[in-house]
Amino acid sequence: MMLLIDHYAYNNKLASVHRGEKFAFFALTITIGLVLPSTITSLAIIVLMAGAVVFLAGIPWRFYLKLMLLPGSFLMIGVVLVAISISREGQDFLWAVKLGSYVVGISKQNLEHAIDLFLRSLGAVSCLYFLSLTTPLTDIIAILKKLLVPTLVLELMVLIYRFIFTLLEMTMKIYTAQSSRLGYKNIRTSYASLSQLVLSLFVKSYQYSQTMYDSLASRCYAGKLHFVDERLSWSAHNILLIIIIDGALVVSSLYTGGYLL
Amino acid sequence: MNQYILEAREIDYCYPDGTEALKGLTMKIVEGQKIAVLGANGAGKSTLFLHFNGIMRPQRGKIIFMGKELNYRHRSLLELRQNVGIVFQDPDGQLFSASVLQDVSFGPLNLGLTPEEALARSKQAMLETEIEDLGKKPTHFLSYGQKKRVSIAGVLSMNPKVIIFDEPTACLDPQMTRKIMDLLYRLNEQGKTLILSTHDVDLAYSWADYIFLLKQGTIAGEGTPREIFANRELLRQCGLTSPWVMEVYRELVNGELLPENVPVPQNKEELFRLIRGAAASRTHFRPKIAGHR
Repeated sequence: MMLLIDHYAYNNKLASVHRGEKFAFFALTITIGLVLPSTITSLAIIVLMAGAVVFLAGIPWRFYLKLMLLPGSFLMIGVVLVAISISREGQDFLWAVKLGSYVVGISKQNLEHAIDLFLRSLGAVSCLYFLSLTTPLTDIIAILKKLLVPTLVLELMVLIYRFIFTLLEMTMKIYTAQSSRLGYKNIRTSYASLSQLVLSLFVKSYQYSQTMYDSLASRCYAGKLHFVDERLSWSAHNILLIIIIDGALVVSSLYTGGYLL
Repeated sequence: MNQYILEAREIDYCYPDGTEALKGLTMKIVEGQKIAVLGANGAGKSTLFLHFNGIMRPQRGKIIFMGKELNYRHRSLLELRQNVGIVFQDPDGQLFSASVLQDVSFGPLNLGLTPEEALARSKQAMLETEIEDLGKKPTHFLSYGQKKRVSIAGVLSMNPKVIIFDEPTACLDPQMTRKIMDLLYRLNEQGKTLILSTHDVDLAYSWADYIFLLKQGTIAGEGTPREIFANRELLRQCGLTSPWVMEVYRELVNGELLPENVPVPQNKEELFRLIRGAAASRTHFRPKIAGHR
C-alpha cells in the first residue's frame, strides 16, 4: 500500500505541476476544513479532493477508495463513541436504551457533533492524501526547507525515507532466501526463520550504515546535507484556480453557516 | 616534477579482528594512466582504496598525493577527497537520498560551490553518465545499472583528478558493462587518472595501461598487461587465468598458424586482424598448390 502511494506520487498527471502550487492548495484547503464551520464545507472538500485525485491526477478510483476506507473505518468506531452518551434522565434523545437508572442513547446534539467530527477528519485526511499522492516526499522536503523547517529535521526525513526502502528491500531479500529453502514451511521453522531475519537485519543495517558513512565521507561529508532545488516556473492559471476554488469554499461555508442539519 | 599523482608507501593495515589486510604495500600511480588492480577476493583491494581516499589510516607507511604527504588533518583530507573519488562497489550503499539530483549534487555542494554551479556540474555529470532523464525518479525505483550510473555521476560531479572504481562491472549485463567501459575510456581521454579493481582478466588485459597484482595484502607483481600476463607462474600464484585473447594467440602460434615473431595482440580486434592476415596469406598460397595437382 505504502509503496503504491509512493509510486503514484512520482507517476501521476500532476507530478509536473509546481510543488508549491500543490502544497498551497493542500495547505489552504485543510486550513479551511479545520477552521471554518463544517459539515457542508467538509463534504465539499472530500468531493473536491476525490475529484482532484481521481480526475486531475489520474489515480484509479478503486485505489483511492481503498485508501479512504482505511482511516474511514477507524473514524467510524471513534465517532460512534462520541455520538453515544449516558445520562440519568433521558431528555432529547433520538434513540435510547434504559439500563437500570441510566439512559444510554444518541442525542441530536451529539449526533451532529459526531457527524461534524467525522466529516472534518475525513476532509483533512483527503487533503493529506491529495498531497501524498501527487507530490513526492523529496518535493515536500524542498517545500519544508523553504518554510524554514530546521535542517536537522529535514536531514532526518531524507535519510529515514531512503532507509525505509533499503530496509524493506533487505527484508524482502532475506525473506526470499529463507523461504526458498523452506524456512517458512511450518510454525516452528517460521519462528526460527523470523528471529534469524530480525537478527541479520540488525547486523546488516549496522554494516550498511558504516559503508554509507564511508561513501559520504569520501565525498567530503562534513556533517551537513545540502539541498539544491531546481527552479520551477509557477503557473498563473493554476494559482488563479486555487484562489477561486478555495475562495468559493470560504464564501459558501460562511454564507450557509456550514451546517446541513 | 613528480610524475606520480598518488602513492602508497609501505603501508600496513591490520583490522581490529587481527586480519592483516595490507602488509608493507607500495603502489605508485602515474598521472593520466588507466590502472587495473587485480586480485582474489580478500586480497586487500577495497582496503587499499579506502586508504587512497583517507577514509582509513595506515598503521605504518604513508599516502602521498601530488608529492605531498597526507597528514590526516581536516584540510589535507578535504583536498585529497576532492581530487580522489571512489565509486563504491555497491551503489545502494552510496546513494543516501531518494532524489537522484540531490545525491549527485551532494559532493559539489560539500566543496562549497554555489548552488547554481553545483547544479550545472551535476547536470553535466548526469549527461555524461546518460542519466539526465532520471533526475525526477526516486533512487528506489531505479534498476541496478541505473543506480550504478547515478553513483558514478555523484563522483564525477566533484570533478576529481583520480577516480577509483571498485569492481565497476560486477553484476552488470554485457550491454551495461560496455557502456560503463566506454565511459571509462572517455574519462581517461579527458585526462583523468583511473584506477579500477576487477576479477575480469580479459577486461584488465585490453583496457589497462598498467596492472598491479595484489595478493594477501602485498603487490605480487606489476607491469604492462603484456608483461603481467606473459608470466603464467605469477598468474597461477594469484589465482588468475590468462586472458582468452592471449590463449588463442598462443594456440595459433603453437599450431604454426601464426609466425612466432608477431607482437601479442592487445584485444579482440587486433587478434582478429592477425587471423584475417594469416588467412589471406594462405589463400594466396592455394593456386600454387592447385597447380601442383
